[in-house]
Amino acid sequence: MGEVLGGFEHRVLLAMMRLGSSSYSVPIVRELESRTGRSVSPSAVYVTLRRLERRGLLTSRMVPVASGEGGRPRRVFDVSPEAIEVLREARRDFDRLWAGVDALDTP
Amino acid sequence: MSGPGRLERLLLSGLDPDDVADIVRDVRELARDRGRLRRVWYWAELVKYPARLRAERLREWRRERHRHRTGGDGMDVLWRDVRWALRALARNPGFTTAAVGVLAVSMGAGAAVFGIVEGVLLRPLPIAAPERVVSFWLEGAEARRARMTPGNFVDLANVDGVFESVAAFGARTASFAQEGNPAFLRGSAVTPDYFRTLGVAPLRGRTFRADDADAGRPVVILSHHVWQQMLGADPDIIGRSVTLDGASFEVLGIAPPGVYPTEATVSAELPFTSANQDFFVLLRYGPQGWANRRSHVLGAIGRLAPGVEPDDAHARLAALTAELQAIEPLNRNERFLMTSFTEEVVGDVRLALVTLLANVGLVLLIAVVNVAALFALRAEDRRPELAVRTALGAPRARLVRQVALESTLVAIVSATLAIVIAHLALRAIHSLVPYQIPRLDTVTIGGAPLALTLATGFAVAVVFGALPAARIGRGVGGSERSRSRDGVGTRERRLQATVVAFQAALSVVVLVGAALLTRSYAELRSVDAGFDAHDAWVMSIPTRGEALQEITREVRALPGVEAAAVAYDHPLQRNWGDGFRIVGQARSDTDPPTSASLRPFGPGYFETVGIDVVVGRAPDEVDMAEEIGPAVVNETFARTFFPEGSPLGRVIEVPTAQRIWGSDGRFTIVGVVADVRFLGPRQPAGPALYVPLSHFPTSASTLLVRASGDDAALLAAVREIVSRVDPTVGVQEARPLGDILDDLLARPRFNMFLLAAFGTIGLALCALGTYGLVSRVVSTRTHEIAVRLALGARAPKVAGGVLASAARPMLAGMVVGLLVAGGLARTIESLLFGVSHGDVLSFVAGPLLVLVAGLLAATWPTLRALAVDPAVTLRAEP
Repeated sequence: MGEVLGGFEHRVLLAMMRLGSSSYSVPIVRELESRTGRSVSPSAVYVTLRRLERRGLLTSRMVPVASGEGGRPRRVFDVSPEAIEVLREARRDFDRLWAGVDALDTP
Repeated sequence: MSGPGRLERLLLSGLDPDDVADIVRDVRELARDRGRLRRVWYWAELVKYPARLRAERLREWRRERHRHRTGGDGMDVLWRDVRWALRALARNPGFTTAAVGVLAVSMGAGAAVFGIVEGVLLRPLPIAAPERVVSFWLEGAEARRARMTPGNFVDLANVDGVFESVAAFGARTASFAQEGNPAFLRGSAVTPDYFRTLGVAPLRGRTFRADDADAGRPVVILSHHVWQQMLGADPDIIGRSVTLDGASFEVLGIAPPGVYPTEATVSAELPFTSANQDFFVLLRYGPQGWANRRSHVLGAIGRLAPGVEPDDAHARLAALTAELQAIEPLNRNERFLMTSFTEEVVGDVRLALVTLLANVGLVLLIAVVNVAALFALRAEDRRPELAVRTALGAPRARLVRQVALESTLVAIVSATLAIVIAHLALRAIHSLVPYQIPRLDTVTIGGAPLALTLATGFAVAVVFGALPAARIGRGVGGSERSRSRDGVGTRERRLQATVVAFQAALSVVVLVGAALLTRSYAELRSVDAGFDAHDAWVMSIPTRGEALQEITREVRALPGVEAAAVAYDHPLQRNWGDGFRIVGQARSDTDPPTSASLRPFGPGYFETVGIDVVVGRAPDEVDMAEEIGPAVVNETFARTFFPEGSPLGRVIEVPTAQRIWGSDGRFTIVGVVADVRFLGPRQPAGPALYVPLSHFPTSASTLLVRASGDDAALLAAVREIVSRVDPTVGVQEARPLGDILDDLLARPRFNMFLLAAFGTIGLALCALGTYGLVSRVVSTRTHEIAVRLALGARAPKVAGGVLASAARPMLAGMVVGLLVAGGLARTIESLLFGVSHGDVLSFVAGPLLVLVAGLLAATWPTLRALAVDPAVTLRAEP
């Protein structure tokens, strides 16, 4: 749909795709840190998740958790079909843009 | 692990409590990865939350404001919205097809009929200042209109000061010599001021001048289409000669296509199309001819002098009437009548066209309601989607715009289709009434009617498409969550029920009208016209005397021919009205002048045309040879002029025959025949006097043939006989008498057909609306129906309940519709024949059709609901 993703939004969505179904900030922060080697602020992930949800790229729901975690249900997020479409589009754009940019090829 | 502490809650006070718990839990968990600094990291991260949220909100707000100010991000957003709208329409083909179909059909039909009304009624006639042009008649006893007599036209022409000019005209036919077949032309003989009075300038050359009449040299003005089609639009035609009826005429000018009155306008026998006017020659009478005050043979028009009001002219004519009544016995019971020329041209069809327009309006209204309901229901369906998007910060304006874009797309597609439909409809109407509606030949779909109809459709689609979206965008919030399953659809059900009631009411109105006209047409068809049109042919052969007799004899001998006769014209012609005297009958001056339709005929006429002889006999050739010729009168004549005794054996004198044709002009009545409705089934017969054609040596003559078998072979054989016996003429026109009768029924047929078409469209729309309602009811009550079926309710009872939900609003609407139809039927009374405006059958048939169509439409979704397995339905419920 021509939605443009911000850099961090793009990363968060990709991390969620890697993690598979329903995730929340903790695994996302860990995935981002382990993949990029940079520290990530959970508040940034939180704000981004809510924004992506607002844009219809994520859906969220409350799920019950094991009693060890305080018993309160928590919010988990799922990637929406629209987001997958947007990611595909972004990737296509990047692939096209990268094609032929030899100087930057990784050695 | 414990929940958030007091300090944490204070730090995160602006957030949703559910989220606060999540955040605290998450940050604590992540802090565990941070080693020694975890406590510092924990608090540092928590502090960032409110800060980031504030920043995020500020960003949202700015973006929102920017969008609001610029109305989006330019063309690519619009394009994105268009694609979004197209996809949304494609996802719901049922809705899209219904909305486009309803809009296209109603707009198309509307544009076609509006185009006709504009072209026939509203567009000024193609003459200069048409409102100044008037028609003249003589009005006799019982307000019966008659054509002008030459003598009375001279009276009129001598009136000073009121009219700028007056002109008289009479019908003429002529065979036009060209290579191969001579062509049969219809035209007019006119006085020199004809074109000046009409206000028509010639396309080429000039029109008549007073000295053309005095010069005595034969001159002709040809119509545009004769010039185009028969003379190859020869640019040098002016001044050349053409041959009409064997005589040479100099071409003075070419008349533009337009509206020319014919003398037949008195009875609407011939329509006012330019196609009826092939040529114009000068009307020539000798001094005796111009003094004739008996023969009603001329049409007359006039143009009011500058500054003269119609009332002044009426007053002057009233004075003239008084003068004449005092001195002219023949005019004792006649008065001059002046009417608007425009009214003469279009008045006859005005009521029919206005009725049609009103019906188109009703159907358009049904369609508008239908489309509005379709859009409203669709908006209801999308409430959750739109509400979520609004709650998540999608700007309302953008949502409204997207939804409006959808309805605009629907309108564009519908409008395109509507133009095609309008053209097809106009073509169909044209073939239905090729020339019986004045000026229909000049109607095109375009300009104002098209623009107005399309604009209406657009406005409907866009406004009704976007309104619900605007309402939804505003009225959302927490309430969305509370929309329970059974709550869904209460509002739309009520809306849909109102729509169904409204449509049922309008459909009943349209259908009652259609039923009245259909019944009335059936009545017209079943009227006994007084002759037998079946197997009878009418052929115009402009020859006379021995040749004509020879042709008739040979035609009679053709195989398959049962009878043949000649006559001045066929039984569906008015011919002309003329005065007569009954020999031996004392008349006082106060008696109305005796006048009848004069109908010259040849031997075998009554047998050929199938007119029953009631008393006496039909004269044969021996009778015709008598010095005092035989005459036959119709029953109305006998009743009117011989109320007590038998007319047989009485002698009548026709002065016109004496003066103009030099014959003896006396006839003995030998028979009485059945009344023939000369003007078509709608008008009762007047007195008619049949006299031998041989005593009226006119050039026009008609061969009537009754034959069975192959029509083409018959025509070919007759043509062969005619060209052999008299090579100078041909069979000018050959038509089955049934076709001519059909022509007279063309207007009622046109009215009936179009109203029935609109009735059908209205009915279909009404059924569609009912289908929508019942589908709605069924879909919102699937759960309830399943529970009831599971609990053992009988299917018919459940179905009855569903159907009742459709029948109730329909019945309510039908009652309203009947009341409205009852009120409106009165206005079309003059279009009806043999059927009262309160015809019970029509008032029962209309609503019954609506009810049947509605219930049929309701049956399908009801059956669908009942066919569902309750177990499956209930399991599927969340």
